[in-house]
Amino acid sequence: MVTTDQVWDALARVNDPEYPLSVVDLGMVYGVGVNHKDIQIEMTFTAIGCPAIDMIIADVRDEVGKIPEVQGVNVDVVWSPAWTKACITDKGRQILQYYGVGL
Amino acid sequence: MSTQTAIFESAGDLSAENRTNLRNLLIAIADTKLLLGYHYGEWTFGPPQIEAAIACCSLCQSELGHVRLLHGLLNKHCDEDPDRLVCDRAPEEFANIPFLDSGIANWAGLVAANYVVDFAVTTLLYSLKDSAFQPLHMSLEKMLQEERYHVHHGKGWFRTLALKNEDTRTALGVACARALQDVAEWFGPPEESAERQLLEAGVKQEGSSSALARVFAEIGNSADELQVEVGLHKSNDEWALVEETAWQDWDSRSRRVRQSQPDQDILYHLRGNKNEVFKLS
Repeated sequence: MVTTDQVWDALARVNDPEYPLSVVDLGMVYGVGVNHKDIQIEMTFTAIGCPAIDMIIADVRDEVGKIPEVQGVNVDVVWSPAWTKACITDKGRQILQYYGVGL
Repeated sequence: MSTQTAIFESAGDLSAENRTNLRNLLIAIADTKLLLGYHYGEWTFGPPQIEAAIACCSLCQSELGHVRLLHGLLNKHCDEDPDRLVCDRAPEEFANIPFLDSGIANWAGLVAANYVVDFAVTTLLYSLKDSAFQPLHMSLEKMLQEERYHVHHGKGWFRTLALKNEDTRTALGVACARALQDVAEWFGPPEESAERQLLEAGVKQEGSSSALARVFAEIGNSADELQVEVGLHKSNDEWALVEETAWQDWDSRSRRVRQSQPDQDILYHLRGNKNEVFKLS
């Protein structure tokens, strides 16, 4: 039986291509659902014009798909609520500040 | 004013007339953003400062992202193929603000595109922010968040050129006057039937006349403060065009009164025709 914790752990291994922190710590993942072997992920992006949207979605599918027993991974991209810097986790803030990114 | 009574989860829930009205409006917005993106991209090289060049690059990326999102809505809800919208339409089918039809000759023109045209589209988007058509409502919060930076940039450069010298102030005024005329044409005549239907269904929350008045107020007040002649006059506390638009030939699909269209060479570059062989299916 796949658990939501396993999915969140997998998502925490998917990094943003620009900064060394995960899509979870960037606050881009809004929700995770598990229906037996099918996974539903609701996520957003920091900018509508982000050129890495398809790449990040592919990374999400790939990483979550590695969980044993997972058969399908559906990523639903949403724009509401709109992502802001306030979505970044405390851990994400520490990482960004370490790399000199002002918040 | 809206008489909204329903929430629409998909375009299929709208009346046939409003499906067409919504489609035409979304295409007009997407076309304008597509052409804005093209011009911002062109001006990634050549602005007066390297910061402005970087800004144009960022503005281009932002507008093209918005086009991608709007085309996604058109694809899902109006059965429109995004590739067809960009690559397989005749130039006269484009419904962008006419100011963007041709190459932008100088930096004053780009500032007019940024401050007047870009701001005008954003103002129209605000009239859709609380749309009863939920897929649009759920998309616009982020888009409008991003657009705030566009108007800041445009307004900053409007001020810079207005204060630099007489030549830059004059060039700015000429470009903005033309942009304002074209924006008024694109917003359309008051009480236009397609718009009235969208307002009645709650798809739009504000009429074009009211939205256009807010565009005129923003640009008119800036121009007044900085003594730039942009073809607006103030009467009874409201800004209006000195030269009013003649609406008798207005077409609701192209949103134009004139026979005009984007230049072929712009569409050629925008579509990437020379790179046809490299296109991914």
